[in-house]
Amino acid sequence: MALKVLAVDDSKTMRDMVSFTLKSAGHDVIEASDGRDALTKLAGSGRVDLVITDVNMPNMDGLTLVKEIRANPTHRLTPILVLTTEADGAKKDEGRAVGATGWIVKPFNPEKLLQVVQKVCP
Amino acid sequence: MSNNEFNLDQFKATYFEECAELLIDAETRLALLQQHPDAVDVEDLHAIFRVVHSVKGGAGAFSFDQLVGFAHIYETLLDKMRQGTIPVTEELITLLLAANDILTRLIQAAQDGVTLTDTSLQDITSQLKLFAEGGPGEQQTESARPLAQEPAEQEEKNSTAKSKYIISFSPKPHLFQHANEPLLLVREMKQLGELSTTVNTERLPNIRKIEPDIAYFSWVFELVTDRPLEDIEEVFEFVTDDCDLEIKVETLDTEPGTAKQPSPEDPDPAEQTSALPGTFENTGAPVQAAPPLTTTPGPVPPAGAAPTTAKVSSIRVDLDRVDRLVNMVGELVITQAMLKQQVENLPPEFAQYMSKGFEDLGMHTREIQESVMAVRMQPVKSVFSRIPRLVRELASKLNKQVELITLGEHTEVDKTVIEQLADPLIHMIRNSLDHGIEETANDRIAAGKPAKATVTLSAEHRSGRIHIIVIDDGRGINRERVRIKAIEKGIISSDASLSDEAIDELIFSPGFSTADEVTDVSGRGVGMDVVRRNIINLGGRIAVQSTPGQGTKFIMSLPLTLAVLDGMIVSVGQEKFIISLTSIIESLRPAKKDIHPLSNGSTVVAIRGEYLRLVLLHNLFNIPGAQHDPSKAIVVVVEIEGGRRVGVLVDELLGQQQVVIKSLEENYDPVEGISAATILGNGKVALILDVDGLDAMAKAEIKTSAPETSGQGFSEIPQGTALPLDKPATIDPRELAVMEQN
Repeated sequence: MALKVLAVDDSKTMRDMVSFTLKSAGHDVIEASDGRDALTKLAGSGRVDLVITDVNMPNMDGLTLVKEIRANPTHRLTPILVLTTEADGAKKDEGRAVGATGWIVKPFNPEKLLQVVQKVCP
Repeated sequence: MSNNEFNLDQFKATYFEECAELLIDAETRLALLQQHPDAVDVEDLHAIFRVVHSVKGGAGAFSFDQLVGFAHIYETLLDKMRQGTIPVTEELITLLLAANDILTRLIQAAQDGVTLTDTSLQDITSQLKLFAEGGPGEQQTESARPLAQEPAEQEEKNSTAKSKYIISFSPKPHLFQHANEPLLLVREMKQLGELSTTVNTERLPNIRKIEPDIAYFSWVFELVTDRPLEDIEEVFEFVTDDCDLEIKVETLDTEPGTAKQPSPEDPDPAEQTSALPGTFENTGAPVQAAPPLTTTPGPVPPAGAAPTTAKVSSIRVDLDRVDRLVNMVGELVITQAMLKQQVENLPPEFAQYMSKGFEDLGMHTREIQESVMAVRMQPVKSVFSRIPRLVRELASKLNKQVELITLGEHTEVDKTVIEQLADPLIHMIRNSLDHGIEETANDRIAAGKPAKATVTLSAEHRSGRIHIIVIDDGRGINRERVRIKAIEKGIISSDASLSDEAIDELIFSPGFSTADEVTDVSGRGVGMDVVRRNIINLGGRIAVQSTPGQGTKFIMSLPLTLAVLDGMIVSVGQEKFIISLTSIIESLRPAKKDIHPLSNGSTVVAIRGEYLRLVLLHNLFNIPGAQHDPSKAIVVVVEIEGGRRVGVLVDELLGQQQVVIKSLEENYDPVEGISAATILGNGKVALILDVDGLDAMAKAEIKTSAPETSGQGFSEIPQGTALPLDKPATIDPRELAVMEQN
């Protein structure tokens, strides 16, 4: 099933890679460059099946974004995957604490990404 | 893993471009830190951290291991600094700058596909580690853990013996609120082997009390599979905190079972493994081997097959493509001009139908051209951002206190111009710091100035050009010393009498250097003459204004683009020339009484009480059949270097036209007084006048011819050879005195 995914990362390279991988698998991708941008895009795009977000971003970081989404009446039950780096064990726990559904460890390869997406999306 | 269709290389270009942008950002932020080491804005630290983090993220994806390793250590230190664990000191900022250099070089090395081996890398790395305390050991092993050894471990885990796992899974009520879904776990386990499920509905309340967001059920799963325990645990990876989980193993074939209960307090080994670098390579394996579900994507289709596209606000375009576009638009402009001319030759009854269409065509062509040019425009920030650091480093090397003020860094200019801008600019800054600013703070205080010197770097658009201005509040040019030096070097003769401006201009003379000893700051074997030559090659010019004791101002003026120019077509005899519209102030036909030949052979015209030197084109270029009498010809008043004005004498103004610049240097040879060539509507080549060059030629002419032509009219001035300029275009009082006598 094609999913509508919101990909949030301040790094264009990462966004490109996430976006390309998901699109290649037949999903729709909306891109946002930081948390604030993501909330704007969410507000304007109806149902979103999955949010994939980086943690370290300007304007609004990923953890704040997770909190915001969990507090949003429309989108609060949207699965959220946090992109985290290998050494960021703490970030994973923080992500989980604020309500992230799961995480993807960077660097990831396309199959791993799709596999994790698969894991949290019906 | 088979990723044939997913070629990482396609993202590399984006990555390196992004790195370049990120590095500029980091440099800018670091410069801010440098300027105010006592009042550090934590936002700057956050931003630098994000830069390094992003660089690392991408590097990891492309397996630039050396870059990842270094970025990781750098990032660790930055993280501690931004969280305040490690206080920000000047020493540390200096280290960050050095680290940023290494980062830049590592990115370059990754781009070139090489590995850095020099000691400075190790040096900085160990310093970073030292500051990031955490201990060299821990950080090192984590980041430098070789990726290659992982698959080997994986193979060991894969045993063929089947086991039966009994999994008790009891979600905590808030499971759904994190958007986790037990059914998905079931689906995932089914891929691992044979699954049987028992659901426990004990916790389900009365239907009226059911909350849709609360998890009530719990399950016991029995899974028969040949997969290791880690794979099962991985299924529950995301929910271990949100459930009570117990996994018992019954080995069906050989090995004895082990029971394991992961809990939030004691994260299981599988999870920890996945927190290490490079593990994605193996964690992906089990599921890949399982029969794919319908939604599991098989081979990833190529980019073009993506069914939808995301909305993006910007795209990256190869510069070559833009260049091709610019060229084509240039040709379009020429074609349009040619057509227009042909239409004008039509009988009037046809021409009138065409003219409206041509007006529109002209307008649209122009719009296209402007749009294409706009694509290539970039703020000068990318060059300016390197300067603060340069200033700081130079200042500390020279033991001077200098504050840099940067203005107008958002001024936009063509990308090709930006690329050429850096070297001259850096040289000008070096020069200002080394020669402009007083040697010691005491010298400055003695001169009644603040101990800290100020260097102002600014960019602005002025009449279709960009002006880059470097101002220092130093001692100004020591004219006596410059004069002596110039005589020593044989640049001028010992009895030459030069105006102040002319002496200042001497610093641009080839082989000139005022520093008694060549310093390692600006004395690198090239002088301001090279700067000037580079700028002139760009179609630009540089001028210096200096006030002794108060400072020096360098003004670099460059065209906004190197591709087109708005020109005025003028005729002299049978020849046609183009004068850049941006340099034209006005044009007029002077009255006879306002024309004054001078004793030195030049001619001035009085315009509203101001005297302008005339540049006689027919004379300089030896053009026959031209109008020699200014009162019957036209004087085009142009602005030249340093805001001065001269009048160019031409026969007629033929009209304005946008022309495409064709380089003379590339297609022929440089010609004095000519900046470039173009093709007119009739297909003929016309030369674009370099008004500064003309002024210099005219002055040189006067110098050689002055003794013989004293008191004679302009028409008798013989052809002279070009010599270095030595006189400003402003009227000298002595000349005025002569003029009065006439």
